[in-house]
Amino acid sequence: MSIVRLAGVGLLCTSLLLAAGCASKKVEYGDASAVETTTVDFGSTDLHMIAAKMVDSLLSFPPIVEITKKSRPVVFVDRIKNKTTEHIDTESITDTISTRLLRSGKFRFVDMSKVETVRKQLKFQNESGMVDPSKAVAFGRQVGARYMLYGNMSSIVKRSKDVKDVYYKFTLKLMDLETGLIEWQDEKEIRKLRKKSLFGM
Amino acid sequence: MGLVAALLVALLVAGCAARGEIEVLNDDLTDQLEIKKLKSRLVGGLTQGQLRVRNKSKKPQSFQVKFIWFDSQGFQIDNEAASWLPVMLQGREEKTVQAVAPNDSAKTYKVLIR
Repeated sequence: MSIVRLAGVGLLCTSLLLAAGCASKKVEYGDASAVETTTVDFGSTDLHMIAAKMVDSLLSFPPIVEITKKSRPVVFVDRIKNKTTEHIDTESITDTISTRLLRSGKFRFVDMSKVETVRKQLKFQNESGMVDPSKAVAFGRQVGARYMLYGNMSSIVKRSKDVKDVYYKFTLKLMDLETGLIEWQDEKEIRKLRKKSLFGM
Repeated sequence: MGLVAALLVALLVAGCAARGEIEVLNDDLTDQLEIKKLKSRLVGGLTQGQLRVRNKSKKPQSFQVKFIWFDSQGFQIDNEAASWLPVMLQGREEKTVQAVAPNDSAKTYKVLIR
């Protein structure tokens, strides 16, 4: 009888533990703007720090202030060369930077990744016979970019028994396509450290 | 006369920069940090805010800063774009943290510290 009771208690405990295990899995929303330090790898806070520094620097650099006083320059964003050992979505960084620059009202952008799609759409409008010719968007009226935004992302990683030190350097440049001159350039450096705690956690 | 006119122009230009205020959200930080100055100026029609802060203690101090910008009607500009940025101060170190307004509609701003 006691063996049966013991088995019953054991089964109950197992069920309770399983239930507790299931109950601990919970999904909740976090603050996308919060500082994130889950790992030492490139993260959302690094992206925000780079974008903030680059946008503020570009908008406040005196020669650029002079250029944007007269007009809203058209910019083309080239890719950021990722020279780190990590997989980093550098397009996401340039997307955030171009979004903020565009919303500042100081710059305008052309999107080179959509050239083929635009060509197809204009071909449809002008050659399919399905669109009223007086309302079709004509070929050859787009505005060319005057400036190109491009850069590099590099890192130096050092490890010891207890410490991992990651140093990132993000460089962004604005080139005048007419003259080939770099009109603006800036860097953002980020250092992240991961130290092992006393209990190896 | 020319000097007075130049001064008036300078005052008018300075008056156009957004007014800023500081709010420290973490009570412990008010004892550890000395907020030395909050300055504003206009750069190409956009307000630039600069906060100068000093670590009062000998130990390194980490905190986070966020600039939020409001238009003339008190509406927050690009409220989803504002992020908390980490700041690290060594013992007794003094640093400036600055930000440029998202666009020229900014009339006031707040610097949040936690």
